[in-house]
Amino acid sequence: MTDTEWADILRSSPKEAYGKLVECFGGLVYTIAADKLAGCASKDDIEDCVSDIFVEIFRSSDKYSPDNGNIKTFISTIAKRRAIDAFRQLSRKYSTTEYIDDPDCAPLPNSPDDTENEAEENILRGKLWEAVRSLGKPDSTIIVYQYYYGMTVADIASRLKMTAAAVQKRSLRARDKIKSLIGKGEENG
Amino acid sequence: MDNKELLNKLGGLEDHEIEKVSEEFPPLSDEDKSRIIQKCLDKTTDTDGAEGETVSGTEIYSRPKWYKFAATAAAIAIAAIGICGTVYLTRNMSDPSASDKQNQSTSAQGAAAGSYTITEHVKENEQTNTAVVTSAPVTTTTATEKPYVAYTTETSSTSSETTSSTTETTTETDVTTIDPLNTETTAAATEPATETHTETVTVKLPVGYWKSEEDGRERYWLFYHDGSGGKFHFAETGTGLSFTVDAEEDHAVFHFGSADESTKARITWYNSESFAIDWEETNSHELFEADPDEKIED
Repeated sequence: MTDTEWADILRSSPKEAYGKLVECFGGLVYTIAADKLAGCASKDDIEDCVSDIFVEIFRSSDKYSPDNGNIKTFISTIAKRRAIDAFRQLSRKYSTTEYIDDPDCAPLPNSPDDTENEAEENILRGKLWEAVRSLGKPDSTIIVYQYYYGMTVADIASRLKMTAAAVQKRSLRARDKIKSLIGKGEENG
Repeated sequence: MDNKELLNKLGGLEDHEIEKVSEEFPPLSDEDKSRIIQKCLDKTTDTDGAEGETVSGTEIYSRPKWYKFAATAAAIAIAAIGICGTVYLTRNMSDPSASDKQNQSTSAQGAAAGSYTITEHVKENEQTNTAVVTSAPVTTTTATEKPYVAYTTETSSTSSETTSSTTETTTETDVTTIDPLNTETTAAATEPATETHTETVTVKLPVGYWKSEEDGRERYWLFYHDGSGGKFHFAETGTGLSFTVDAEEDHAVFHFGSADESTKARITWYNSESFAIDWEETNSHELFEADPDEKIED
């Protein structure tokens, strides 16, 4: 659909607008929300965030014009902003603060000037995704659903039409493989 | 780093990478999409109206007819109560019989009466503005005399003539009623006052022993019993003068030392034991109090 057609759809009835928006951009919005809310949100929280994003898109339909940019950019911008807001709310709600003296406390994030560590993190992330993709489906799908989207083993099993035990077994094997791939990569690099 | 920690680093992707992952690993099943659409509709219905419904027009409210009558009756009742209450209060305030000036007794008088006798006892009837003279015992005690002699000037509204009447001091105990309109006439000694349509002004000249203070200087006074005059002397030096006094309309005229000298003054009574004289010549204000010690010799 063209951006002009999307502009018309946004101004149509809520049912029609939501139907088309979720069908075409549901995956993208969900992925954005899952990426921002990683580590602090359950599946229900992510879905609530996604529905809030689409409601805001519908209410902001008068602000969208094809002349200002394409519909995907418009939706992505709103999605990122709402997801970050949801992250802040959920962080307060679930008390995700930690004491720095706690030995189990995660390491502090890199300082803005710590470009070297940030670059290393980016490289590691890239290698991880490369390793995940190299597993092939369905193992890569299991890893992404489990560790990126935060789905449960049962959820994954129903989507992939596998048993939960099979999903668990594949997940375990996949993790070990990824770790060895990453380890080999560090040795070589 | 264990496997879990390692795989938690999958997040934090760039925008183009997120879009790629969403296409490569679609996160939503059909069931998930339906659920999300329903959540969106629920949130939109709560605030924006169900599925784009619009609202227009107004609901006509039919007010029960008896409300109008009840409101009118209540308004009339409130207005009637207000008017009647105002009339009632106004009548009470303007009724002279409601004020109580008679038959009050005081325990102390301004003047010591040891040196003169009481010849008459006058009781005044407020309603008819006439005086009823009754006999009174002769006494030399100090308890019951008025501290002043009242001179009333009446101005008739029908003619330009004025009449004046004098009154005697009495043993009347009602000394707190300093009322200019209190004429205190005696039937034998005075000409009949004009009727109630005349305007009366009363000057009350003190009698008896008094002390005064003006600018820090004390004086002792004796005002004669008949109201004709008296004498004073300064407490500090003992020097003083005698004087005569006349009542004129609403003020008194003192003649200190000789009849040729005239000093106009206004006398203001506060109660039976204190009054003030405002001397016109010096524009001064002198306060007088009863002197029970009678420090000036007769």
